[in-house]
Amino acid sequence: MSIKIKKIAIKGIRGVQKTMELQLSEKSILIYGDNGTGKSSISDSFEWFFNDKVRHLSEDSEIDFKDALRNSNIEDTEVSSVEMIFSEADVNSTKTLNYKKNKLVSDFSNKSDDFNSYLNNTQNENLVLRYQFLTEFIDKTKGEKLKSLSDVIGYAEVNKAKEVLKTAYNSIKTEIKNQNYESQINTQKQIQIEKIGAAIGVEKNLFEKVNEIITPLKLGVAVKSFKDIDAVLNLLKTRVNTIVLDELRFLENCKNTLTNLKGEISLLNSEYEKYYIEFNKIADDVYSIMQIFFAELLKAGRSVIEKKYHLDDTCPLCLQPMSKYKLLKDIQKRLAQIEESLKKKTACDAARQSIINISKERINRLENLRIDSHYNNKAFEPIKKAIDYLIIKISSLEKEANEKFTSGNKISEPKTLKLQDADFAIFTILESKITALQAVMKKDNNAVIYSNISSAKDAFLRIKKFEKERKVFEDQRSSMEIIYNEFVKKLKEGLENFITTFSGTINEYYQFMNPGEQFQELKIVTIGEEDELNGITIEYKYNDNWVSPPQKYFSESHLNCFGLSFFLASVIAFNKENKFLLLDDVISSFDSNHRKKFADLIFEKFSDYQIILMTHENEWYQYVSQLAKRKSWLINEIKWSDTEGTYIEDKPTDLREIIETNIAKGDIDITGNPIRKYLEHTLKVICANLEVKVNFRFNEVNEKRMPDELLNDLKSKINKSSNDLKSKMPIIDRIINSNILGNLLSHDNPFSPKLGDLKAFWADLGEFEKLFYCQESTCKKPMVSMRNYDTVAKKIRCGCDKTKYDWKI
Amino acid sequence: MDNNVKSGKEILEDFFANISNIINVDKVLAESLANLYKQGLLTDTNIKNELQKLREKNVNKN
Repeated sequence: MSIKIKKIAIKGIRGVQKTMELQLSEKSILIYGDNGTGKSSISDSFEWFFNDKVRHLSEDSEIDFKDALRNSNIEDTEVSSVEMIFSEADVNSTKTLNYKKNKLVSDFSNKSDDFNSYLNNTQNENLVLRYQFLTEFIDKTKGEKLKSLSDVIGYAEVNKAKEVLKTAYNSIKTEIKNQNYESQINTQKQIQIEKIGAAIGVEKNLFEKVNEIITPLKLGVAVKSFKDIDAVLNLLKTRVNTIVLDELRFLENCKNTLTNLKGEISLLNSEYEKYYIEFNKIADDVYSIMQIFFAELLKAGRSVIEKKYHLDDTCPLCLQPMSKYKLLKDIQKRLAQIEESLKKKTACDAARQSIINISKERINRLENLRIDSHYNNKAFEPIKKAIDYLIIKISSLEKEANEKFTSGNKISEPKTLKLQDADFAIFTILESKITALQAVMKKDNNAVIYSNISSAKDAFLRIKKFEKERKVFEDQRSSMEIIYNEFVKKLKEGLENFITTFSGTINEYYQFMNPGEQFQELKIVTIGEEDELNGITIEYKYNDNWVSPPQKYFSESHLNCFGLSFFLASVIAFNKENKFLLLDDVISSFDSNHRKKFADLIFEKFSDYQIILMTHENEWYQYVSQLAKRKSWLINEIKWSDTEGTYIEDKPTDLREIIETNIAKGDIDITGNPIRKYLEHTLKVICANLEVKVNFRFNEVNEKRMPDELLNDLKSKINKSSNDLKSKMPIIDRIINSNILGNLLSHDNPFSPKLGDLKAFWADLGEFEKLFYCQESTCKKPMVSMRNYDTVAKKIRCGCDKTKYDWKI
Repeated sequence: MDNNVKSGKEILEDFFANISNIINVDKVLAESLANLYKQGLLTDTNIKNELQKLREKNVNKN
């Protein structure tokens, strides 16, 4: 869609107390307003309507945004509103802000899906640019630039998805490391070797081995499957002491788990060591890490300076003398350092998470031994104590990993916490108990064979389970790695494609405003290799050398030109729904040459856009208004009064043009107000010229004469004073008796006449005007006025004497 | 400006629409990621849970 604005009506918002209407009829407009007249009420209304916030109000937490948005002179019972009439009627809407149960609430009149979809799509468009936000992109750090640009071009979601995929991919890698399948499989192979003399990985070989073992027992079973092995074990079980077997199974489980854990001593110790090193990097430089918490404060300070909330060359906080430019540079430097500190913190967080995950998994394995009924067997008390001790020791690694670096506490050195062989001294007791039970079983050959086959089978199945789990994990890891890499590739391609094109447009606009200068080939450049895109910087050629950052040689005007070029390139790139934009005092710090060039750029490159251009610079306004007139822009002035607040005075010439455009397009509903204003203005001028007397009224109420009152008083005056004009009375009567006039004066009904009636009324009004305005192009005082009264001929007349009527005084 | 420049949303839509066609990627896993994206549920926790479910399903196969 290419939506333009037909009308904006603002009431009770910021400086606007009563209703202020901008009748645009899809035309561009140049608005002049002195400082303090409330120009920004229009941009605030825009921002609030489209984005539900006003940046310079919303960013200050001290300000109650909705309260600040309402005009301070209106009653609590009044409704503030912004009405937008667009070229697409389906999305017309009024946004209101009023008190409901002592709370300010806002609402849109249009609840349709079309409007919601339009509003949603508009969120990412660049519709309003204010001076204070011109250079904010340039002043950001490289990381913030990337984020900012990503947000603007809608890549924030892509970056978010990238981070999500990366986290998921890393979590699989970590999970594989945590499980340590290699070690677990080796432990099971060791059991097989111990029990049946070989590590077996193929079912057929296991069955052959079991057959070989049971042959002397002549059980009458040939093992060809695991079912057969279970049958053999059931047969043997009837011949053995199961209590001894159970105890042996428990002890062997303990031994296997502890053997496995002992094999992972170096994994646990090295992971803790890594964490210890990363933690101390932060602890040794806690100052820079603590700076991370100042990031928000520094950004707020930067914002205060950039938006010119603080104008003196002092620090806004301590008020010590300091150049704002230097202060801004210092803040930038500190924010860049904070980005580095964040990297350290991220590395520490990763090491911390790793030791937590690995510890938890090992504790879980030890906890599983506690579930066994033999765990509390008095005979195995030392084993219980050893397991409990290991759980406490590994838990202490996890506890240290949960230490906050901001606490100021040191974490334990690796040598004090590290697991060592001595922690597994229980192996001696375990072995002796196992040996003792095996000795008991040795007297019973069936029990030995039962134990060996059962253990070898369980070990085989565990190996297969671990191998399968590992393969599933590895397959997922591989898929996630490919997906992640492919995603990063697409993201980089998309971003680089965008940046190349975007840079070209920025450079084009910049060069347009700065022809023949030494700054060439401006572009934005990505920083980062492989899968990581760290940031964005701005480069340009200066005396054939690449320069970055732009602040190095750019003057304030150059920086602002870049900011404008960036914004305008964003408009071209991302504004898909709307074909309008509002530029609020954007040339304030431009030198005169750049100002003119900017105006030329707008008229040349954005001629198909509807521009709302506001300024308080009179000289520039005079220059632009010449261009604007040639391009049929509307031109107007914003004023301020005690009674109305910010208001705009409609010029009759503009009103006439708007009315005629609306009638030609059939836009009746938005024509009522302009035609009423036009009629009021015309009647006031005619009545003043003919000295038509009206009833006395006080002050501003005197200004509010309704057209019907003026028409009737004019008619009465003509009846008393002029036979010539009396003969023209049918024209006045047609206006008085027109149902259009009734409709115009009715506050209860919307303006909705038939197009034919409106056209006829407008033609009558034209004829009526002609009675009192000389049609000679050479007439220098075309209004028929008492000022030109011919006392000899007793006639009122225009300046050239061509239009005249008899007139009795 | 070149209209072929893709917005962030277009990049995401294209990627997840074609994720199953990426060579050497498990199709079931790819489709489950695409489904999470379609439902607006693409978070690391949801992916982790989904991957765990798929692992359990695969380990318990046969």
